[in-house]
Amino acid sequence: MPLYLSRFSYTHETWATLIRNPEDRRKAAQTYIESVGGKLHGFWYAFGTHDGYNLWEAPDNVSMAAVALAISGGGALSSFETTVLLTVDEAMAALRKAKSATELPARSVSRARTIRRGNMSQNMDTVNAYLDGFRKNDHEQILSCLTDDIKWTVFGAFQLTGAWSSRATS
Amino acid sequence: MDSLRRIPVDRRMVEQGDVLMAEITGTVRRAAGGEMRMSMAEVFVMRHGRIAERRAWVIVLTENDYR
Repeated sequence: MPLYLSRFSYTHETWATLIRNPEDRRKAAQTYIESVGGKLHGFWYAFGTHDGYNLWEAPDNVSMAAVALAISGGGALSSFETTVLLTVDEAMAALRKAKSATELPARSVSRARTIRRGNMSQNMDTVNAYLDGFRKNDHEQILSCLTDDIKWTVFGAFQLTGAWSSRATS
Repeated sequence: MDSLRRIPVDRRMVEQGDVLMAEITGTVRRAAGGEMRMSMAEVFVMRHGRIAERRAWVIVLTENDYR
């Protein structure tokens, strides 16, 4: 399963609550990640820009994004950013693949054209399919709508960057 | 704890070139029970017919349709 590094900071209210009632938050993080079939590898607090760091694994980026949204939706954090980590082997595979990525296949180029069908464009079709994939929890459908280097930002909450490594295993 | 098993149902979109903007409202079911309503504004940047970037502003609605 892909590994993820999250950087988070608590709100002032959360710190105040924790000072009043000290609590080991690893258990909560563990519950979140295990609810999507993932695993918490580490939980640290730190000096500096961010209050803490998590290292965890999840079945795929959609699952990790679900955890990030659920945690952010709780309102206890002032920031939450997640980076998709690549193993050295995956990076090596990417380097090898980059050799053949300089030219787009003809089929991909044709997909880039915006084809009008009534008021619906192909791009709009793709976004609709993507959102429907979320509604149906259909990971394959979601991933088929995304580029390999998708960047997803939810302002005030998290940012996922890097290759959608789960595509490689699907 | 929240779950994203139920997701946006109401959406409106406009596009210019390879950039689409969507206004989405929906409800997320919480694993612990109850629901969370959200209003979202999203920018989708497309590349070769696929989504290359998604930028979202998500507001959790707790009181009514706008707050």
